[in-house]
Parts: sequence; structure tokens; C-alpha cells
Amino acid sequence: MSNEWPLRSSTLRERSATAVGDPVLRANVGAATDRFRTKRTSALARLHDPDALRSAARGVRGDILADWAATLELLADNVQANGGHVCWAPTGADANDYIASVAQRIGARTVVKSKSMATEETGLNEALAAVGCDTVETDLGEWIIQLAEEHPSHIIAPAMHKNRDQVADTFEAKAGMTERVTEPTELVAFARRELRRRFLEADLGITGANLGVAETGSIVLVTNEGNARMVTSMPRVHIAVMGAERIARTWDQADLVLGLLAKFGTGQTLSSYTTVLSGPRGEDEADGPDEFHLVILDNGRSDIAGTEFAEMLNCIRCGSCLNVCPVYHQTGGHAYGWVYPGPMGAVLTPLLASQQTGHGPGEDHHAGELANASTLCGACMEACPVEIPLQDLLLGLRRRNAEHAGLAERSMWRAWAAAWSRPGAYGASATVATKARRLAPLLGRLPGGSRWTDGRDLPDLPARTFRQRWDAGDV
Amino acid sequence: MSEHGDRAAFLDRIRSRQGRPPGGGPHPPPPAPDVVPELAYRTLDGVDHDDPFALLPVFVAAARAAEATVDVVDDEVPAELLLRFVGDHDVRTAVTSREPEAVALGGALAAAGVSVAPYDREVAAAADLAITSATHGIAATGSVVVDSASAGSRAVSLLAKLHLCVLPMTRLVASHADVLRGQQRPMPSGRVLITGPSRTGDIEQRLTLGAHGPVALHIVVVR
Amino acid sequence: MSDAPDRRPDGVERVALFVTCVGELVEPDVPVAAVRVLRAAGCDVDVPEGQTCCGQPAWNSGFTADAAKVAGTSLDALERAVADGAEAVVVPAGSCATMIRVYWPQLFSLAGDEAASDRARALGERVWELTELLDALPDERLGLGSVEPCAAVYHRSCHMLRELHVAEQPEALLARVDGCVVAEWAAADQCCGFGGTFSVKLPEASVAMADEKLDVLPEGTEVIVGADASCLMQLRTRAGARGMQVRTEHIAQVLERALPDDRGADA
Ligand code: SF4
Repeated sequence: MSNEWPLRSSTLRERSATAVGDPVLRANVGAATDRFRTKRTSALARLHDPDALRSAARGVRGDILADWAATLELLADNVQANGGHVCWAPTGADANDYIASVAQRIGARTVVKSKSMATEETGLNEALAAVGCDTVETDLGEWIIQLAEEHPSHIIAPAMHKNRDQVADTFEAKAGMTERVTEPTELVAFARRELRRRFLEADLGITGANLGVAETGSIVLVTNEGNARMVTSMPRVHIAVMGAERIARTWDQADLVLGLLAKFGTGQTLSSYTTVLSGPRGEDEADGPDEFHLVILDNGRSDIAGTEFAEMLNCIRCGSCLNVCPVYHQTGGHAYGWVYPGPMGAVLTPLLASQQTGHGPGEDHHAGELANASTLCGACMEACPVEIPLQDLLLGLRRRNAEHAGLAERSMWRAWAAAWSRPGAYGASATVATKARRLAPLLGRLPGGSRWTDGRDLPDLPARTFRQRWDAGDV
Repeated sequence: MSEHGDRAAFLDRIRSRQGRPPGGGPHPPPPAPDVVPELAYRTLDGVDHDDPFALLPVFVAAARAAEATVDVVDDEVPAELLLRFVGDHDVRTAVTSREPEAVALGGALAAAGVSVAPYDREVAAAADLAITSATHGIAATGSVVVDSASAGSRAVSLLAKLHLCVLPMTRLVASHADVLRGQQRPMPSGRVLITGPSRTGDIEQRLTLGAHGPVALHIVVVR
Repeated sequence: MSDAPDRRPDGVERVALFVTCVGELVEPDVPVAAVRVLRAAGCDVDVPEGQTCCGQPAWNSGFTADAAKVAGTSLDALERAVADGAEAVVVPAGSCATMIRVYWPQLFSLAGDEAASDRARALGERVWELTELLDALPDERLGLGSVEPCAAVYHRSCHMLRELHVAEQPEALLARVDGCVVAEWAAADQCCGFGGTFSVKLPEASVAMADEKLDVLPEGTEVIVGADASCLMQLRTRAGARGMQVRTEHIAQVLERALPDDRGADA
């Protein structure tokens, strides 16, 4: 993974404290996630029994991945039967190398991209820059982020943390906006003009894939702006980079998943454009790419299969868990330090990162500590269209971290367990000091721990414990 | 058509990792359903899915909810409707897909003084209006489906400022399941379910129409 | 699954109270109130010796073996109480009830003790969160009178809501208390930000989460009522640091105050 990400150069606490200390960011993120939630609620109200559908979708996703290899094989065969090319990319570097080689072969100068988290993961833009390509992100939010030289803070609304004035600042500073406008409609019109030019001149278009459907060798792209449609119809070559798990065997399965995706993600009945692409331009068609390539990316995904975290592979990247997470609500996405924020990121980042850095599971402390970015409140599972039990996976990651914990932490818990498994030792003989010691894991490093008392009073401890009162007959 | 990388190694790695994950968690996954359920939309309650007349009001309401505009006409698209549309939106130039319904409408527009051309990407990118027809209309979501194979292009419905889509009422179906399920090869190279105009909420979640594609979608349902 | 099978508490007469570690050491008034309310509802309350903590702090931190060691101590104690005739184990804390009912089977299983896992599953069927049990009893078993008038809100704690699916019961009980007026609170079901060690691992975010709830308290709120002492501690200590004039009170204590004079304490 690219070292430019803050994950390796700071701690989770530092990043979250910085975010919490930024009132503009909190206001922006808070307002945006609130709107997403409201819209999701009304989109779901159009359906009968969304919970039954979530449960079915969970079963369906599990079923698809139980047959993972065979489904990929069918997909790859059908993509080629449709006239497309397939690249198997075990790592991000493999994917980048392949894409760069295609870009060089066709002499690509301008590359237009529609939003793709998988290529954020692989650091594709830097790899294309290295072979002389000018790569332009075309999703509005992603373009803003690219101009501002930041990272996305939300998987479907990458610039959620910015308000209109900050966007205008970025356009002025980086996109040559000479007459400052701040109305969203005017900012969008500016972006439309600038990017329209780039679409028409681009040689290579790169997208992600919301889903690959094996039975027809198709990929599905879901967007609202239409940028993915531009990217897949204007340039002469289209490369789709698909996380290897983003597949369905049949259109029955795809229909269920796609039907839920927009409702849980942006809270729409369907997104503006649900595009099904099956190979390059058809004979007798006036546009569309001459070449279609599907890059199937592993990059640590297969390591998740067969583990207690396997259900994380069911994620369809809808963003719903981010929108309901009370921690994300306070910190926004940058606090998570890498591509994937929120509850899904807190689970996925440690799973993908340990493979990429060569660390064994649980050894990568920087990634692993993301599992602590949760109160385990369970709002995420409740909001997930494929019902991933994120809180249980977070607990699993914490167990994995504990296996690699330092001696001090291990000893503290051992002492805690020793004290609390000797019932006779508590009750009548409990002094305030031993109480405080037993409470330490609850309240941090009491006494003297400022991590609790910065911003909170210390709770008063009572004169007598419950057991003392019970034994004295005062209850 | 070519294949790069080592398919066998890639798939072997997946196969070797897969097994049953250890269970025991408090939220175990359900078994996969025998039949993948369809989304059941409340707006379709009591509506005969095979009756286009019954589906029509559902479609119109859903399309309007998605910020499309809709006219329902009896047979041919009446001239005054066209003239009103052209006037309202100040349409001077238009491109058409190659579907007969779109071409016919293009002819009528030309007669009304609009400069009409068949699709070409440079022309379309500068045009005020694009005319296509739809292979399906989806009642539950108010979507129209446009195929590259019949339209002759992927982007004809995308590049111009406005998109006018002709939908014969008999092509109404109840839900996206009726379009997506059962698709088989050979597929059109591009097929798009269009639900309202292009939009973005990327700046302060403020809905803004016409992000990269049409700022307005007008659907004319022909009864 | 988290839902216990259809359970009928109507005739419950003998209950065992799980005090919880916070109840034992920090908030003894809460289990005291729980005992009095249960007695008022006609229950014979036992507080089994040997119980300590449900193990949640270590479990949530990933220290399975340490959690199992502590939880095993409490499992033994509660099981003995059931063997001695307790028909229900009552827990005056949503998150501890969740730990026992929802997570203990997995905890013991991961710790390699399948027998304890099975025992935990069996025990779980008898475990009730306090308000869940009280609300399920026939109304006439628990007469509730009035309290000093107070403007209250109710905090719906996460585990109770999402794991135990105990949602309406606490407020239904409060509705039976004259004088306790529970106002709509937009943030009622938002997480308080405590999260055990989360509160000290990411203190800034934790405090901000409490603030978000406190910021939208209805005008004039005097007391935040809840069923989890640790959530209330988080909200109270944050409110205190901000100089806010709002108290917290566990629902058991509100119900205790509402008991008619001849019942409760001396029953
Ligand atoms: S974990 Fe679930 S809710 Fe979160 S992004 Fe993935 S699918 Fe959506």
C-alpha cells in the first residue's frame, strides 16, 4: 500500500482527535450522513420487508462466494466470448503494471477515470503518472479530492467532508476557476464544462465494477452523474478493475443485490444510471471502446476466504455502515487512515493490509488498531444490505490484536481476570484502592489517567459496595 | 480476446483458502434462499404486472419522483407537444438514435425548424437534445432502458443537454427484475437503466441535476 | 441467535440478580433498587454468592481467555442459583445481559470450553434484562405510583436495542409512573460514546459522541433515565464537565421511587 496514506505515519487516536477538533469537518460530515440516512429510510419504505431482503442478500452473497473460483472462471470465459480481455491480478502492482502496459501500447495521454475504490487501493494514478499519462478523476467528488490532493473520506461521497466554500477554494486554486462561484449548481456546471473536454479527448477510460455477472460476462456500473457512462463510451479503450469478490453468478442474484445497493447507499430507488456493459463496442455501433479489459484484482481478498472474517467479502461498498456509524459521524473518513473508512474500513483495512505489508495476521499494529474505532454499538450491521455482522468481525480483529499485544496490556488483563475470578476477594474487603484497580480496564489507566478526565468528571465511588450493603441487610 | 496473468494460480489460491469459516458467532448467516427473492415494491401492490394500463400510473409517479418529466400521448406524438417542448427548452439542435420511433420524432422536430442529425459524438456533445426510444419502461422505479444495439450508440442518451425518450406503453414492465433477470448472451454491448436525469449530490449533498449527462429527462409514453 | 425462545414469566417467583461489576462497585444503588422493585413485584430475590463480572471488558478488548475465566466464575454462580430454584436471572444492565445471553456461548467456545458454552446457552434462556422481565409480568404484579414531578428523557442503549431487541419496555414502564414525564429526545437511540475501552482509547471521539446527545436534550430536561449504568456514567460525567444541570438515573431507581410506600424497601 502506498506510504502516502496517513495510516502508517500517525495513530488512530491522533487522526480522530484532529478530525474531532475540526468543527467545519464535523458539521459537513454530520449533515451529509444525516441526509443519507433520511433518504435511505424513505427509499426502504417503498419496499415490503427490507429486512427479509437483507437476510436473503446475505445468503445469496455467501452462496456466490462459496463457489467463488468457478464463478470467476465462468465470468472470465464469458468476458472473452464477448470479445473482451481478462487480466488476473494477484496484487495491486500486477493490476497497475497491466494497465500501464495497455496505456503505453495505445499511446494514451489522457486517461479518464470514474470512481473506483479498487484503484485507490492499488495506487493506480501514480503508476499511470509514471508512464506519462495525465489521469483525471471524473466523479465530481473524486475530482475535487484529486485537485485538493487529498484522499476520499467516504466510499460513495468522497468529498463529503468539504463544503461549498472549500470546493470553490479548490477550483480557484487548482482548476483555473477565474470567476468564483459557490452555489452548488454553478460549481457543478463549472466541473461539467472542464470535464466534458477531458472525456472527449481521452484515449483510455478506467472504471471499477459494482458487480461482474458471470452468466453473461457483463459488468455493472452504478452512477448518478453519468461519468462512468462517459468513461466507457468516449475513449477507445475501457479497462474495468474489479475486486475479485464483486461478482454474481446469475442475473437473479445481481438483480437482488443491485436493487438493494442504491437504496442503502444513496437512498435512491435506483441510481440515475445502472449500466450493464458486455464487451467492447458492438458491430455497427457509433461509439464505445474498441477494446474492453477486465482486471480481476485479488490484492489480499483470497486471504480473507475461509477465515472467521469471510463475510467481509460480501460487502458491496454501499456506504450505509459509514452513514450510521456514530464514530464516523464524529471523525469522518480520514481518521481511518486508508482507502476504506467507517465500520467496513475498520474491518477491511486490517484484513487487506497485513497481506500487503507482509505482516502476519494481527501483526500490523497500524492497521489492526482500526478495530478499536467502534463502540460495538451494532448500528452498522443493522444498516448493512447484506447484513455483515461487522461488530462481531471487529471483535474478531480485537482478538487477533490481543494475540500480539504487549506484555503490559496482557499482564493488566491477566491481573484483572485474577481479581475478578476470586469472588471472595471482593465485597467486604474491597478498599477503594483495589476497586480502582479492578476498574482500571473499564476507565483506562485510573487513577491519574487523563484520557477519561479530559472532558469528563471522574465518577464518585460509593462508600459501601453492593455486597456490603446486602450482607448488612440494608437492601 | 486475450488472457493475461495466471488464471490457474489465481483460482487455486482462492480454492485453497476456502473452507467453512469457523462458526459460533451470535449472528450466523442464513442458508442461501432456493429462489432469489425479487424486491417487492409497495407501489405495485394490487397492480396486475401484465397490464400496461395498470402499470402506467405507477411508472409515471416513479419517474416524476426521480425528477423526470412525463407526457402520456395517445398515438403519435402530437405536434403541439413537440413545439411546446422545443420552445420551453430553447431547442435548436438535436441528435437521434437509430430507432424508428426516435427517427420519426426527429423528422417531426426538423419540420418544426430544429436542426436534427443522426448521432455523432461531437455533434451530440454540442446538441441541445437527444432523442431515443426505450426497450423497456420499469414501473416500480420509473426507469427507461436504452440499449446500444438498438440505439446504435452507448452515449446518444448521455451527451446532449436534454434527453427525450419515447416509450411505447406496451413495453412497460413491473420491476427491474423483469429486465435484468433472464438476460442471456449475446448481450448488447451497453444497456442502461436510466432513472431520472444525471445528478450529483457531491457538494453538500445538494441535489444538482445535469452533472455530466442530461440536465433533464423527458419521457413520452405512447399509449 | 440473540432472541431467546418464547418465554413466559407470568408466574416467576424466584429470581437471581446478577449485580454486575459496575453495580457492585460504582453504582450499588442500582442493584439495590432492582432488588426492591423485584420484591415489590412479588419476587423472592437471591443474589448468588460468587458472581463477579460478565467478562465484557476483556471480551471487548479481545482477551478471550481472561474474559472466559471471569465469566466462568459468574456462570458457576448463576447456574447454582438456577439449580437452587431461581426461575429467572435478572440483569439490571442491557449490555451485561447481552454479554451473557448473546456472547457467552461464543466466548466459552473460543476459549475451548464447549461444555461451558452449552451451559451458557442453557442459562441464557433464563436471563432477562430487568425491564424486559418487569414489563412482561402482568401489570397487577407491579403496582407503580408516583414520583416527584420530573422532566425526563430515556436513553436507549445500543445492546439492549439491537441485540436483545428490548426497545419499548423501559418507556412502557416509565409511562406507568405518575410524575415522570418522558419527552421525545431526537438522540434517544444514538450511542452515548462509552464503548468500554473505546472511551479511553479514542477519548476525543467518545466525548464528542456524548456531546452530540447532550446538545439536543429537550429544553428543561432534569434527568436522563437509562437501563445501563455505564452509559449513564458517560453522559453524567460529560454533562458535569460541561457544567450542565442534568442528572442521570437508572430506571430501576425511578421505579423504586415510584413504589407505593408499603412495598419495596421493607417488603
Ligand atoms: S459493510 Fe455493508 S453497509 Fe458497509 S459498505 Fe459494505 S455492504 Fe455497505
